[in-house]
Amino acid sequence: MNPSIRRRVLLPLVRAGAVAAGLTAAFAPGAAFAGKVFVTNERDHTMTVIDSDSLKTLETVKTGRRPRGLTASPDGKLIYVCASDDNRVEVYDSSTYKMLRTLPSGPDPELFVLHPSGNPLYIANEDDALVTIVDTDTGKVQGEIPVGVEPEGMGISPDGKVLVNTSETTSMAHFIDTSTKQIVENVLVDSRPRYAEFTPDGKTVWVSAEVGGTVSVIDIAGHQVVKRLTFQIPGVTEDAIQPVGIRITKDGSTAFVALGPANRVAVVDTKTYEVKKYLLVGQRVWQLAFSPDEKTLYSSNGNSNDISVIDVASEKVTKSVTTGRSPWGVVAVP
Amino acid sequence: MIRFAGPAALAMLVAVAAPAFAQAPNPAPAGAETAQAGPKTPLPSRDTPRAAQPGPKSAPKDPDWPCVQPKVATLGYGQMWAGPALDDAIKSWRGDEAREDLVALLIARRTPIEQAKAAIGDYAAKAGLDANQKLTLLFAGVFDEINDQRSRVVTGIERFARKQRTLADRIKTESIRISQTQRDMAAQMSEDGQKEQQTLDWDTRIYDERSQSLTYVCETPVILEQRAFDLAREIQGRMN
Repeated sequence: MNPSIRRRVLLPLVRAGAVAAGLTAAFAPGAAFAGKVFVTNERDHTMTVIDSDSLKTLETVKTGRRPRGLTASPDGKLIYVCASDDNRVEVYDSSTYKMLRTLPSGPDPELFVLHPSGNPLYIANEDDALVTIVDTDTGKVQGEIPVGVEPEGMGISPDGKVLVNTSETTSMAHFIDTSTKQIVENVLVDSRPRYAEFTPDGKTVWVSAEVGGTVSVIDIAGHQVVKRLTFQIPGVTEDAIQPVGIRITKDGSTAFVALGPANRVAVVDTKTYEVKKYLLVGQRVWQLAFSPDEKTLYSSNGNSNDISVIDVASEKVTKSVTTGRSPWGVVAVP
Repeated sequence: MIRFAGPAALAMLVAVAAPAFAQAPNPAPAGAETAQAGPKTPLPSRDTPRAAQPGPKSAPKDPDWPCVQPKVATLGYGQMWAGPALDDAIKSWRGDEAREDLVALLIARRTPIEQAKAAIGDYAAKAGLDANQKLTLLFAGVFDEINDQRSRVVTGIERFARKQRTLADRIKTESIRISQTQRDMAAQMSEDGQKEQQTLDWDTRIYDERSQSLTYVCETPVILEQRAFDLAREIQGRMN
């Protein structure tokens, strides 16, 4: 291309880009540096709110009994918490930390997933072998889907059409069509599946098996296990490797897998399925969450009562921050 | 009152003996999926035994392990150590008196963790040029000793569980026998009858009290592991 033409074409584009960036910065509530990390403390019946910049605790919020799974609305303004022993989901304002309302959840809610649009909420009821669908606006139960025994892991495809629930005792991943609310297929995975995470292209779902010690990568179209990942860490016994939480970067290149009492987070290349690193975090690491800009990953460490802060680019643990007792879930909002 | 202890002990035993994984009876919705083109692989009935597991760890639950925490017989140093392999250091950390003394101080549960961390700081400050090597050996000692202590605790918990099971069996047999032999007031009020009932009451009480201490007993390996992890973090923080 002629350089002058290229300048003429590119300059307006660059300017438009700069304006757009400026607008985003101006309108982003609180900007990137003032983000917050929410952590549920299962044994304290509280939720710790941490400033993502200073890593200081801003507030410890009293929640319902045994708070476990938590997630944020797509705009980051609402925080949903599974109060497992109170059999309800609590909705908090992420800036005032006030409880706004509660949602019916069915008995013993453990984990849930929000539809990408922010409504409805799909909840796994551990004691009842059900997935409960709740409208987040009206608080009405839209339906219940019978699944395997002890359902826990919940993942939803980026287009919101496929829901995957895993059941710990039946050891299956249940593929559910969100429009018909029916199970389309059940796929046997390794023992005690805990978590389901879709790749951003929506083509595969990664399911962790805590007792099996593996992660199954399942093809969405054919419902076939295309890869079974295993983990070996020098100086760690096999039975301590218990995969739970999974997070995959938006570009789909890297997966992070929390390995429970191995106290490590595996960094996996999603193309080659090769484990690049095993980051030493805290004790009994279960859940993971990216910061909204995806530069940072947080891990909740249930036995060392802290979260670890991981720099995603350098794949290094930079800090640990004390929380309440038995931190379970973690989510970060702008 | 005395008669009541028998059935009560029985009821308790039934509760204990019931398999922990028994599910609440949950009526399966009939043919909800099958009406349409249902899944190729159906949901197994909730009453069927678990499907065979392709995973490497399909071993049944260990009946001698009474804790909710999964049994981890020994710790691996990789659970708390990101540095170089420790296999050699674990064999060679002994032999330096100062180090052995420091290890003993660090692992003692009566040493407050803050004091332990300060002692690690002092040691690192005086370690000089080969600080990394010295700190590696120090951690090898801490790990080796705590792991050993913890393994003994785990063995103790298993022994505890076996004793409880034996006691439970004895209470069960005795209470059935007493309910069969002491059918009338005379038998109950006889000297032998009273003695038998008293023994049964005591056994039940011991069983109950031991059961109540189980939560604490099961926490012990966790507490030891936490200490090892905490010390490992401190020692690694002093390395460069």
